[in-house]
Amino acid sequence: MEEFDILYSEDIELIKELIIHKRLDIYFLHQKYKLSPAQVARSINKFMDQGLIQESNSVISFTEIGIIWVNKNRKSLFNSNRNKYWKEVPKERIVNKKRLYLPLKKEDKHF
Amino acid sequence: MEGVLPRSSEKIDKVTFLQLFSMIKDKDWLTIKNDQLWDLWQLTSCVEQRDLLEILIRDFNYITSREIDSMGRTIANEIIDNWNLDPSNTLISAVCTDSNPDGSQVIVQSIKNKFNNKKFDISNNLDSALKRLKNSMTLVLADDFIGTGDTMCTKILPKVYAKIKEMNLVGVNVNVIAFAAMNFAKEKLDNEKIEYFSCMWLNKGISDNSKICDIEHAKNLMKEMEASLSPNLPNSKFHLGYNQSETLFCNEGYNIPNNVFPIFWYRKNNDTNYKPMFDGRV
Repeated sequence: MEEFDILYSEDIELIKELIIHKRLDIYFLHQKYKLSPAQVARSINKFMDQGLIQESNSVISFTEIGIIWVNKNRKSLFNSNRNKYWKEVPKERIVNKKRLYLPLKKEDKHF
Repeated sequence: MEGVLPRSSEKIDKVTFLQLFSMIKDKDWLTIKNDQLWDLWQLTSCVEQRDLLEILIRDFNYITSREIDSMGRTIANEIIDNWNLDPSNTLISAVCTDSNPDGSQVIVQSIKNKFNNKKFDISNNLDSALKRLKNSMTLVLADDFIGTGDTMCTKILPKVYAKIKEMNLVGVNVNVIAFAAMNFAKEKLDNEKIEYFSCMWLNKGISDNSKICDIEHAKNLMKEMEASLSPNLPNSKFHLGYNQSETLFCNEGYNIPNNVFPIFWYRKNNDTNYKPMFDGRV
């Protein structure tokens, strides 16, 4: 998915429901997933900015480009191997194995 | 980049959901204020109050860090190109007079690197700047926001003029710069016969609002909302904002002026869970 650095769970839920329903009343996302107005607004703005969905009177649907995008990325969108931002270890937290602690003194070995 | 946003802690009815959604969708800065917006919404008790609140939120001037930077450039251009001030006889100072952090320091910080090769003398404290004041100099006083104009005209300027007199200085000009100022403060500034420049001139949120038909009714609605925040608020000096300024302005990440409608920053009596839209004022 080149267009987006991060897709949040609400983004995936929105896409999933759009695939099922084709046209979706955005309030449904709150009813079913308890998504907040901010989550739904950010998600819709994100996809609308890329021209993937359209909104009219609080009902959303895919655009032609959106349908192509979903088909092209369906594997990475719904595959369990999709990058999960909350699972990723920040680079600065990754230990360099070559620099692991080695006991130097005699006392250090008695732990 | 707002990061992970929380789901709703409770179920919201459809009309309210769509009204909140529509505002957040149009006003990006509200995205990270979902919980605060929800708390604010709980103060309302009727559709009219909610509609008034929506008008005010949509009209709110929320200035982002990027916009602050851009306004700093505009002010620097005004100082050089329109006022034709020269570093050799110009002193620019924040109006801050003590050691506490102050909003006026934001404006001097934002302009200090925007004069290309010209090296202006810029101070973040008025008292220390006044010590460097000399004959025939122009002193540019910087404040992030001018509300009623009272602080500038009854506190800052008299202090400056007293110091000029005390130091027996002649030919000193005083100019004023600001990110934003209320329109109704212009008259007071004009009376001072000084040059002044503000990037934004703001109207009163209710009284000067063309979207509101019945001004007095809208003020009463606001009074009711203020009362649900704190019973004494409608009779305090902060009713409709300090001195009834009705301001809708805030710089991202900095203290909100007390001229802003208090429903946006006042804390709810005996309710520590209530989150005001803007933090920083007690």
